[in-house]
Amino acid sequence: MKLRWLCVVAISGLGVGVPASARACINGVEIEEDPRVAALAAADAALKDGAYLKAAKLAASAHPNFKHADDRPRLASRAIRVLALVTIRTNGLVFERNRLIGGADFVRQKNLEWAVSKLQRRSMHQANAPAPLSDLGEALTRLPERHDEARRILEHLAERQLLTSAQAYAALARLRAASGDALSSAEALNACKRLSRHKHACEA
Amino acid sequence: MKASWWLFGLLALTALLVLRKLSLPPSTAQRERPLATPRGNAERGAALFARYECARCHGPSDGATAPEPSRDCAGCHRSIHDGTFRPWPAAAHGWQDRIHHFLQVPSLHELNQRLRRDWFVNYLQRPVDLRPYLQETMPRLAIDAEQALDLAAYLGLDEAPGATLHGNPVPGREAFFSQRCHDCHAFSGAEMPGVERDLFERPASRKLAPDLAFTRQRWQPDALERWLTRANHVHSAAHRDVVAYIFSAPLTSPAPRSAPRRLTILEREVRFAEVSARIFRKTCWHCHSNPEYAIGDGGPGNTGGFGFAGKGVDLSDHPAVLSGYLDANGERHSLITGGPSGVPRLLEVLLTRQIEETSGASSALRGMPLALPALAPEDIQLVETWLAQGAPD
Repeated sequence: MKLRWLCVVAISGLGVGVPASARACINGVEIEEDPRVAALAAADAALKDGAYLKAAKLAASAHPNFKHADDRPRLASRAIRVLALVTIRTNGLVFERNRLIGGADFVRQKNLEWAVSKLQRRSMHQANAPAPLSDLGEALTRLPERHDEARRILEHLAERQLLTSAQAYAALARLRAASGDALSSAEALNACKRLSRHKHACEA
Repeated sequence: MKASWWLFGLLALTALLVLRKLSLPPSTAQRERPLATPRGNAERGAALFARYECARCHGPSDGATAPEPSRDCAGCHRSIHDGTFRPWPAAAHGWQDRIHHFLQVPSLHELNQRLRRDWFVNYLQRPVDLRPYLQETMPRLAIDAEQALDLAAYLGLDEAPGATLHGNPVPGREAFFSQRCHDCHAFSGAEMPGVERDLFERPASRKLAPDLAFTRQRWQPDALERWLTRANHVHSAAHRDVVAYIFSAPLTSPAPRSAPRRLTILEREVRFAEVSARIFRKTCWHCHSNPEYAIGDGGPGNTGGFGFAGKGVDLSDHPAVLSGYLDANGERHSLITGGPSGVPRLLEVLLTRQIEETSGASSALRGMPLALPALAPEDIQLVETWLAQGAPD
């Protein structure tokens, strides 16, 4: 198992692991043959399952220098998304030295702000794309001073049936409940439960 | 007073002329105008050839360079099968069982010596299922009449003068069967005794054989005779007679087909993973993929291709499917809930493909999968069940 991960990291470290001709067959080739893509796909799945440490490890293995990576290259952006959502969904833990660590409240707060800034940049690079906006809306609910912004984003997407994750519906349910709108909060919570096979996704 | 009478008379005359124009059938000259179609512009045609990415499936036109690897579907599939796929020939070996389409594709080589321009122009706008043994079909691209003429000019197709038949269809019919033309070619509507067999049992090399029922619109008799001589498909003495038979055999109209019966939704639970494994990954994903995983190219159904603007449809994972699609104004709409028709867009395009295949009826909406066979009713049932359950992860 260790050997497999060493291979993943080693090949990732080469930087450009995929020759240009690999693009000929688009996704099918990359996901099967590029270890970074395979690791990121597995990280996505672990994130969805609520296996946050596993998700972070996989994402970091695909992009070991993610902290300094430019957000633009697409695979780096994907890795950063996973790591930022891990921080959001663990309420401020970050991946360091192969584990998730938090610390004092102000440290966690800084971590959450880092995650929000990364997701915000990602959504700016993909203007009006529902998935990055859903992630951002969910993330903003972790920062009380930005709840209005979060609500605007999430309500806009929900109205068009374009929220892309159960967690985004759960975040909307929390905001609606906080504003005293119990009925529509329950609606969002039901949408969350319909979408996800995991109970944890719809928990507060 | 005099002036007002003049004005009245002028108005009446104008009205009379307008009414005549509206009520009369077109003159003979007007009716025949489509026959004298104007020539297209070859330069514009070259640009359109690139825009509609014709070479992506057909390979390059005569004298042109091959498309770049990322835009060469047929070349890529062939390289996987012949073991030359780079940089992973060994990995590609494992994909051979999965890849069945775009291995044999109609060539554009010397098209100008084969096809009639009027057929070509109509076909580009309203494609028909020309090759019944080939699962892939020409997609309905957004090509208008003027563009079709420009493409014809680029490929060197000219308006051919009318030709008469010289051969004798009776010996032609005998030669047709004795030379076993029917082993490869369908001839819909013609009497074809004892040649009923499973279409897809035929060798791959025969997949490209066109249905000869279309020959009368596609070819001029003399051009077909020349082509038969060159290709040495039929013993030379019989060429004229075989051509005469193909052009004059009585044809009956095909029986109307209807779309397969829609199955009722399943009672069991259906999750995204099942729909993805059975349908999205197997059929849709190649054209509707994730640009982040695919290093920038989301495929023609996502980031654009074949002359279509990017529709933003990504079917690579659950959040991507929930992200919907872009309309012509760039607005996002859900794929999984009812649109203007009340049917979720994802289901609507699958049902449209069934209709395209059977009745040929077409709407502005393109049936999916584009240019490939419609999904089986059981697969559509699975998608419909998943949607009815709220498209759960």
